[in-house]
Amino acid sequence: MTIGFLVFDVVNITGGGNAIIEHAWGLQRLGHRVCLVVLGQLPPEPPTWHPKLSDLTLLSADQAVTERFDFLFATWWLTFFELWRFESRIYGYFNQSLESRFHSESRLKLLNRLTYSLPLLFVTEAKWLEEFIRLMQPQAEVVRIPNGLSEQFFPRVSEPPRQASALRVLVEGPWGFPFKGLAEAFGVLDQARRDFPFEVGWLTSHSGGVLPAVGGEPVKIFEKLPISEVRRVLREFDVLLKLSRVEGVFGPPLEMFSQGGTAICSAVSGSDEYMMHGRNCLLVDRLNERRAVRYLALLNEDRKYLDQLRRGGLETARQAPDWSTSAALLASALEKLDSRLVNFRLRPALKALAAVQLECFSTDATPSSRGLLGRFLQRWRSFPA
Amino acid sequence: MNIRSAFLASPKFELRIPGDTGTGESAFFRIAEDWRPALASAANFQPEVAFVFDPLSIPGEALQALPGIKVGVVTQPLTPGELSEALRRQRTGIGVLEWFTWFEEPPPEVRDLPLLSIVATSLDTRRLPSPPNLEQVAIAVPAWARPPGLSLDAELVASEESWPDCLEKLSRCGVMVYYSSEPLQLSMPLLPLALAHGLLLVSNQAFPPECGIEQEDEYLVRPVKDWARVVEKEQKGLGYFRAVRARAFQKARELFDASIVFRRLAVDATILKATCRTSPTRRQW
Repeated sequence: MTIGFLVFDVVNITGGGNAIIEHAWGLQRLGHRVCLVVLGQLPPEPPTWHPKLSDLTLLSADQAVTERFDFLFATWWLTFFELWRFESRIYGYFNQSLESRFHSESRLKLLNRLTYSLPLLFVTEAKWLEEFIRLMQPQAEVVRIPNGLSEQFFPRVSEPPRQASALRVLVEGPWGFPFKGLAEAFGVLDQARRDFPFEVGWLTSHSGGVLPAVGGEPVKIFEKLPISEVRRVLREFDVLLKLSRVEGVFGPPLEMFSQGGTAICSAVSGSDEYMMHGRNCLLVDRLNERRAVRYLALLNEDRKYLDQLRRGGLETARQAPDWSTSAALLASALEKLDSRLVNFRLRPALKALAAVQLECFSTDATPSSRGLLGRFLQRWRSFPA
Repeated sequence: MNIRSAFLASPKFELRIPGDTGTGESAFFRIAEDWRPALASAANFQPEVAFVFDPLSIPGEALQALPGIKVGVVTQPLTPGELSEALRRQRTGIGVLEWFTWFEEPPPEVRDLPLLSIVATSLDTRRLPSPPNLEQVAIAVPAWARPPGLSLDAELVASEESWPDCLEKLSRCGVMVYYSSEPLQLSMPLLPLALAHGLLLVSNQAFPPECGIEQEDEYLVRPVKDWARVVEKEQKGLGYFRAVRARAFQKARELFDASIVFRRLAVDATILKATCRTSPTRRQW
């Protein structure tokens, strides 16, 4: 089968991008022809942050219009509005989050809802998204494929690394996206630092030039690391602190578990997939977010409990499937659907929705130039219509 | 980490308490006018953690006999008498509750009580319709939240109705309009229930961000003059707000599902120390 994934870019490091690359690579390894269709700027060389990118076929949109796909998947929500440009027997949507929640503008939320208005083939990794899509599109085919945990990049340690004298806390996430809760995480650490000393690091794909300090001391920053180097950082810390407001399924806590750490995270949609409060991590709800300070104090004082959580996390990571298992599940699902599902007749409807999107972006407002969407749109507009 | 938990409460709280999972992990003991039989049964259950709703309605000496960590669940403002009784128990150690949960950010005068968490509400979601009926478009309005000067053909929900009657009414509706002169709170009656039913909640006020309910994605804030138009859009049957209703249904389960809420609280009650005085919400306590 020829399978395409529409992506905006492959240069930026994102968890969603990682899942696309792993699935594409896994499908290719199983004998399928797989292309990543890059709608933004096609880089002259494959980016190095993910070694598997160099094994994959990257096509520009102009190159891809001559392809005949068996399956073509939208990924990031705005790529949905470009599906119509390409020929495919089956149009799909690899939907990893409800991206309307990333934006505050009502217009963008409304546009995002249009991406659920056709009975495409939906593939998702999260139970809550599967449920949401079924509520939105009861007639659509929905396939849930749990994300894998890479054995190559996150080999499970045999034992949690030895604890240092001071608690070591790692914050994870890019700067500039309020729903990632970075400011809140550093606020929690600042408050905790008044009571006891600990080490802080920040693992990020994008620091935005920000140099955070906790208790007046600068935070050690690990920025734009290739995925193959992330585990080295994770092993240097005991606890991952992540207070996002929106997630599809948390990826970093599971990666932290694989290296013998635990996590304090917000109890957001998708946190129930593998995170168990008091067994492998500690979860805080938004109304009680400052309870994270108490949890840090607890883990600092009670190292036996910290060790218990770390061991619980490692056990969870050991049970997580490798990406090869996830990709095999996806391949199997697509092979079954290949013989019975055809939805190319949706192409005119996809085109009509693209016209709505174009109209929405061309009238009055200039969408915010800040953040991921702003960067996306700045480049998007240079793309020939 | 399964913690054996007992729930002691009057039947009016039944919808807030996790239903029997059949695992023997938790049990609900209904408190009638005479609280002694329920307390005796709860003691026999040998809980590791006991959640006591409206805890000051039971004499402190009687609570002494209950094994396990005792958590008082405060669901409404305490009277001055109740407050001084709670503080007296803490001072004397008789009938002492190891922890309290509060329905909102507690007032400064209770700073000497050990606060475990803010629990605005909880719902036994297994009693509620699932999946929600997103085709329904009838309007519900609480009697205390009717918008001034607007007439809508709506099902009126009265304050004195029992929760089974409320559930029955809400399950026939698809929209709830809610007028308030103050910001919305999760402890306001019917709001969590409306969300959990997958109703389109339309109000002139917003929830504060810390409630975690996402404006435009999970409910709508509109001036009253726009409500008729919003309702009309939903009643056209285009599914214009279907995503909002679907997310309301999901978010209510993420935030309020009683089995999730109390399982986490049971863990916290056992791992945290009451001497740790940090407020779960305030920057400074």
